[in-house]
Amino acid sequence: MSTQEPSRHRHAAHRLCRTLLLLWMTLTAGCTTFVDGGGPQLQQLSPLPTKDICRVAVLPFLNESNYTQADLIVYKIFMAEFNTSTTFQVSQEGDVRKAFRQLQIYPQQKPSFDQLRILADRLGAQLLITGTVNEAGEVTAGGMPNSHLVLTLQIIDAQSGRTLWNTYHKRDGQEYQKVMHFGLVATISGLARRMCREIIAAWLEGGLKACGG
Amino acid sequence: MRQIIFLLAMALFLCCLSPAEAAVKIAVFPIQDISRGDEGVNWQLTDQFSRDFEAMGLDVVSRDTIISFLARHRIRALGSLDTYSIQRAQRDLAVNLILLGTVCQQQPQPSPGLAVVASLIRTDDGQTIWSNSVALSDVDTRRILGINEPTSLNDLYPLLTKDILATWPSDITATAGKMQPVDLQSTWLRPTYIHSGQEVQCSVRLRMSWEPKNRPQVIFKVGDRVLKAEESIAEGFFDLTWREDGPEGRYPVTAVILWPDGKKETILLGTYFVDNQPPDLELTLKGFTLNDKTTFRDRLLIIPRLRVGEPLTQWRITFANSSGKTLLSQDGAGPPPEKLFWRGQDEEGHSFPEGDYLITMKVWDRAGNMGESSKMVTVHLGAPKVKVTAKIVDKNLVIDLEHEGQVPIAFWRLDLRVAATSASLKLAEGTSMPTHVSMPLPADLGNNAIVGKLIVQDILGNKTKLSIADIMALTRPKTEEKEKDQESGWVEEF
Repeated sequence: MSTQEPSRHRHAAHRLCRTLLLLWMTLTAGCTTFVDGGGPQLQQLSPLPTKDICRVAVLPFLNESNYTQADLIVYKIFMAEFNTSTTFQVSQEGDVRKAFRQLQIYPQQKPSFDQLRILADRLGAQLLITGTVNEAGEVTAGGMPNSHLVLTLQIIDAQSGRTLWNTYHKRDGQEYQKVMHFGLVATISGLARRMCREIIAAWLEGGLKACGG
Repeated sequence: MRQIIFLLAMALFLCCLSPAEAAVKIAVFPIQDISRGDEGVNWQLTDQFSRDFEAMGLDVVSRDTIISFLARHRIRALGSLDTYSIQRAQRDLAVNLILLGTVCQQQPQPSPGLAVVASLIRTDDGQTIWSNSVALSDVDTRRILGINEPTSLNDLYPLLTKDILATWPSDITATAGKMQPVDLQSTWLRPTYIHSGQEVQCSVRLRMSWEPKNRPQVIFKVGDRVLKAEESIAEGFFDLTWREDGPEGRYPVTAVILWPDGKKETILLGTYFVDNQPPDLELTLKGFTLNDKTTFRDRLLIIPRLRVGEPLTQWRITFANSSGKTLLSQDGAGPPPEKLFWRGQDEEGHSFPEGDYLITMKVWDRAGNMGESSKMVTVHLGAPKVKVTAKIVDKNLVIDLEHEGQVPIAFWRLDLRVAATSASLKLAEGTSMPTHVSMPLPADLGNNAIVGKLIVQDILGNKTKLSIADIMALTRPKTEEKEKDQESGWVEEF
């Protein structure tokens, strides 16, 4: 019992602090401290194909970071967010992985130009999306968890295998922090979700449009 | 309280469902959990989704039925399905929808976090018609007043399905136009790089079954050429091997599937390249050039280089003596090393005898073309020959050193001492010959002899050590020549 007493006191003190904070926020409503650390850097190297784009395939991402499975985490989240945010027909992940197996493209191997063309043909895709997790990490500093992520994504023309758009995006979980811990993104997944949304929004703003959209 | 609100919301959703939607059948495939390894499954979340869908009035396929389906079709990878498996699921399980999901992250510490993605596939057309991702951590769920805050993973779990289904569409169209895509089970096009006259093998395996009257015909198109594939005994397996005698270049291959009803489908199978150019290899040897030949003793640098860069698959280097007998060889896969050192020794560490040797390097490109380059080298093991003479000029002892070999001298050192006392008289060094060393004759030398020790090394590393018992003897006329103790010859460095 005695060991739980200090813990209870701490919790009570914590709650009191938060109540005071709520009062303070109510009084100073509108004065948030959100800092936008900068959106994705989109390079439009070549224009998108002029004909309607209906089908897109997202190829497995590469992992250059030391964070195990960062590529898989970001890939899965990107697929989900891309399906949610756009009206493209997105090739099933299972079809993409099967085509990789058929072409004997191993995990973490970048497909060649020829392989990209074959992949696009097999998947019936007009655009291919590739991505690399350049950096990823989760740290705890000063008792507060934080995450950081650096991504590079490309939109590739399926016919030529040429990169049309290149997007670089770097974020720190603290960049979303508003007041105290609120808004802080503590996990790689949470950060990936936010960043993928920002990248897709930048693409849509840049003119990426599905057929009939 | 949260669960009550959620159940109320679900009940409200159920009231809004049309009868057609209520009849929708869904298969919740085991939720992949990559935090538990490549084949990890999260049954807790799978069952939670099933319960939620049942609460929504959907007809949910039982877990055992799905496991049986996965086993029957040998589907091991969770979290995704290919179109063929989706078709099979529609046929075998009679489902309109498939829910796939993956737990991307599940960490209890330092900040409990959980992330899940889910997607809903319509089996009629194999399209993903809904997806969502949720990432929750204790930081995300903290509240101003700290009431009912989750503090562990178990607290986060109940929040997940609620959050992920928050965007569940209210008007799901569970039926769509049927898809009938050709499913390629496997394709084979080998090799990718050939030279003229080599054979190319191509095969396609279609994962479909058909009545004999509906048997398709498969042709391979290579540029303008049309090659009819042969169907093997195994159903759906079409293959063909042909010899390629065409010119150098790139050859894309497509398979055209012709159905009896006139339907035609074209599939790009791959590309092969005809390359008849052997790699243009240049071999550079870094050593001392003597009589137009690279000469070395125990360290030769060999630098292979392609004049026109291209990927290499194999290399071999051989060392043969003047009669053509190969004494040493080494090979490897891929390109050769950028630099090779040869110590002039065989595999067992024995030095090659002095003489001429032919170094030949061969490399092969991806098409099997061989490039070759050879260079002659000389192993020179002879010790530097030095002529030592001495004379007395004005009470000074003058010693002349003259190099009689062809290989330049790297350095020399002459140490002169009194024979009886070993007292040092002179230590001289230099890097070139001919030269002379001069020193005043000691007044107290008396009948003592002067001992000279000379070390000479050429630029190849060959060394001569010469010990002269009495230098003064060299100053006397030859008739008075005394026996001298001379030692010269090879001394290995190591």
